[in-house]
Amino acid sequence: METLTHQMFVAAFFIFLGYYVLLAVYYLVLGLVGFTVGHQRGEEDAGEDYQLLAASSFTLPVSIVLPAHNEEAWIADSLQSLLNLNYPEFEVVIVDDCSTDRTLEILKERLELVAVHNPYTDNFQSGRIRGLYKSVRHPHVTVLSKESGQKKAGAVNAGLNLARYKYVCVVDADTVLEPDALMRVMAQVEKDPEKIIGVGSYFGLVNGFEVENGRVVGKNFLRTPLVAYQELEYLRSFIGNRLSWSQWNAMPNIAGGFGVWRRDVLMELGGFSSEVSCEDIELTFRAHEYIAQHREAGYRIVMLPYVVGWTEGPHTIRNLIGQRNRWHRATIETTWKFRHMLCNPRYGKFGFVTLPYFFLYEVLGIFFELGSIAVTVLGFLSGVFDLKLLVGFLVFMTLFQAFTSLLPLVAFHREQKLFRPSEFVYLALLSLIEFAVYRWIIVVARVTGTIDYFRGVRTYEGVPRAKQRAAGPTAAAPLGLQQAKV
Amino acid sequence: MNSNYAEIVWVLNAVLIACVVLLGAGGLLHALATAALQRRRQPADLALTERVRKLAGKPALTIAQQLAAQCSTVTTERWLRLINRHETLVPENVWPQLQGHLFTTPVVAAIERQAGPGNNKWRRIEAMKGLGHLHTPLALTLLEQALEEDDKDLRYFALLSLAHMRTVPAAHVMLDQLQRHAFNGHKIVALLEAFPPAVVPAVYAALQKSDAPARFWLLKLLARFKVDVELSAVDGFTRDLSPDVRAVACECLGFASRPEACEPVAQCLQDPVWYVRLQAVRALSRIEGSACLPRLARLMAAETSPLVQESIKNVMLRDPAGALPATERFLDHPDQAVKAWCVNALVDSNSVVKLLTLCLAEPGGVREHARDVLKKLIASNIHFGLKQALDQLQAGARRRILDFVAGVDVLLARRMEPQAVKGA
Repeated sequence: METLTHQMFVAAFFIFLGYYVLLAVYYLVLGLVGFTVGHQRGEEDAGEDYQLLAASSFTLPVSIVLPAHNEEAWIADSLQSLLNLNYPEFEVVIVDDCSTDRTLEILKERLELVAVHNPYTDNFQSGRIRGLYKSVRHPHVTVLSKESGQKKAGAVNAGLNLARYKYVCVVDADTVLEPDALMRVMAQVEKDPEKIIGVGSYFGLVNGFEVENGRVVGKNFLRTPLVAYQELEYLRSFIGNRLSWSQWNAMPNIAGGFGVWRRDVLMELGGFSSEVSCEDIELTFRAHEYIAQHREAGYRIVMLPYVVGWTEGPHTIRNLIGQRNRWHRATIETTWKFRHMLCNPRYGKFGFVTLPYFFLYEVLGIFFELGSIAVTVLGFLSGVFDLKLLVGFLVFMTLFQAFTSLLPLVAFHREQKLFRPSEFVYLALLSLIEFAVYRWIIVVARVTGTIDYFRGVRTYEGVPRAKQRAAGPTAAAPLGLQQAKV
Repeated sequence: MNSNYAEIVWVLNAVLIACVVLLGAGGLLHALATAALQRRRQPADLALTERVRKLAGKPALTIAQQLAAQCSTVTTERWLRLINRHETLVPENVWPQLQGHLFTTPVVAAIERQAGPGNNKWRRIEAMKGLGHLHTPLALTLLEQALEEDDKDLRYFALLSLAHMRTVPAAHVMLDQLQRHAFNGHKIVALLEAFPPAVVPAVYAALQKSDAPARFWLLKLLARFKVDVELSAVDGFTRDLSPDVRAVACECLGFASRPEACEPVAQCLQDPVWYVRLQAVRALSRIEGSACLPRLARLMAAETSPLVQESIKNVMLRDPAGALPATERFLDHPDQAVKAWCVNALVDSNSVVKLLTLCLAEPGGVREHARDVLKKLIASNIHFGLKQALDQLQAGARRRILDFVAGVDVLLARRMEPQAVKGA
């Protein structure tokens, strides 16, 4: 009996260890591909002639859709960043999704809005309209005020109803775009507009930055650990994974904070879905189905490493758990909804490279993570494993976590050169203790997210705004730590 | 046995530690090196730019002497960084002299060597861009060679460098790429758009020997050139087999705005494909203005596409007075939809009040004609805002109009103003 227990512990331990080794190899491959792609995109960006692009009448015009619900803290800066965009032709459609704060008033003040009675056709049943306004000061800006009830998806769909141009850029209301964001992204689209149906690009966290009149004027990456860890997570996701998946046309998510889509494809797909907890990932999965259905057209979804903007991340542990809970729910919902694509040759690399990762790491990863620690600790307590193995395994987990963060951090910094040496060291050091500190917050979020998914929770909770502007260490020290000085 | 397991884990840890240290230290070293390089490179680049800027307005000989002095101390890389951004860094009047001077130095040969095969891809691209700006003797040959490479980045930047040359031979190479579909047509014409009008004959020549997708883009390009389009070279494409080409041919002729282009465009009003008709409507309105309205009204009677209908309506709204005769012809059209559209066009163009005023004019042709139109409007049984229009008239005029309306439809007149029409 004792031998059987012993053997079960050993077998379980090696299954878990095998899982992590496999994952490490997967990350290594993704990281190396991301490294190469990032370098290539960086060089492409450096060599591109943006002046020619700006002067050409053939440059593709873009409709920017900005959904806003109770965004009084950010809407002015976000709007101003759109107005500051260096792009020859674009329109802005702001959808006020039944805000109860001053969002609409701020827009009216800033834009000098007048009510218009233009025809409005609702192609997506995105909800009742309260009013339609045009800006006197900026004729290319339209504001739509609508009843709430269909989450962010309904607001974006309402904006799509008004969008006129072939490409639609969806931006979050708390995202401050860089002036050349659209130009850099559309330069890639211009190379093959018939094939590129969706584009995403990197955006970081604005928390603690200095924002003036819609421009980020002061970047300081020596931020509170909670914010810095989120930045590392963004790097892991955008640079470590998505950039490589994009190279194989298997990119699973164009993030809601900034994404460019071809409007005709969005219309064919029926717009964003309000039935899921998070609309962006579900739409990208659907787009992959569309790509598979139109294989001969050679459509592509592309991820770029360019910093296009900055968005506000959760500033307390509670808010972070809430946000990641929703993201995790959305991941489970979407992965389950599209389970028929898993290892299905019809969906190519998306079915064979991306989706297995989603099932094994994003959905089931939490069970592996908790299971592996539980087996090792219980094995140690029951005398099956010795202290050396227990310590060795915990060190392994710590190093594994650090490795998955460092690889994209180095790849990103090599091309974008965004961090000062001290900031790089700070982020690298944080990655070394990520497993011991930050990882457990995400574990809690994932556990509660899984429970909520099975409870049938499908709500969309926004992140409460704190608008930390160069707030320094006193603004939020959610981990009970003061801002590190390195 | 336990310690064996632990050994395996610690071996993995050793590998991970090596990776983490390598990444951390490598990343840090790179960050430090980049910062140091930036600190060293930036002032040197700035100094060179400053020295070149100071040459503006100086005599040619002085410029030549000072540039000669620079050439021995400045590296090819530094020159390339300046050349590739000369539009923003070098004063316009200094650039031709700098260009001319560099031809006399080994810098050009070094750039040409760097742009040739066998070098690092991105260094090669940097040099290719320099060739495009400098128009060196070997530039065209080297860029043409790069267009044949397997690497898509090399091909793309060779195309971009050709676009910087803005010469007829460069245009020929780019048009050849367009005909071979080596790149997306949209990208090539976007680059060719910045070329001088001297390349237009090459575009015409390419038009004659291209397939439909290439013809589409070439016509698009011609439409954007602000030159007189050679009608004979374009009008034939309004009968092209491809509807895309027919549509863009109409667009091109519309931008030409020449009366001779009317007939080929007007033929496209009968095209079976809706977007060809749409472009024909737009083109005709550009060429003829409101004179095209009778033609458009005829088209309206049979038009099925709401987008084309909307386009015709937009043309009519631009000149309501001119549109009136065209719309009124179809007020008694048997098709209810056509009738409704004509009534809407009259209402949208605010013509109803004007019509009522004309009904009260001195006896004669104008009055009779206006009354005839009003009769048709009433008979159409479609709401046309009579009450609202009547409210804008003086009491006497309103009374006289109501008498006339009562003569046509007494119930309608009563609905408008029950008191006034009681005795009618």
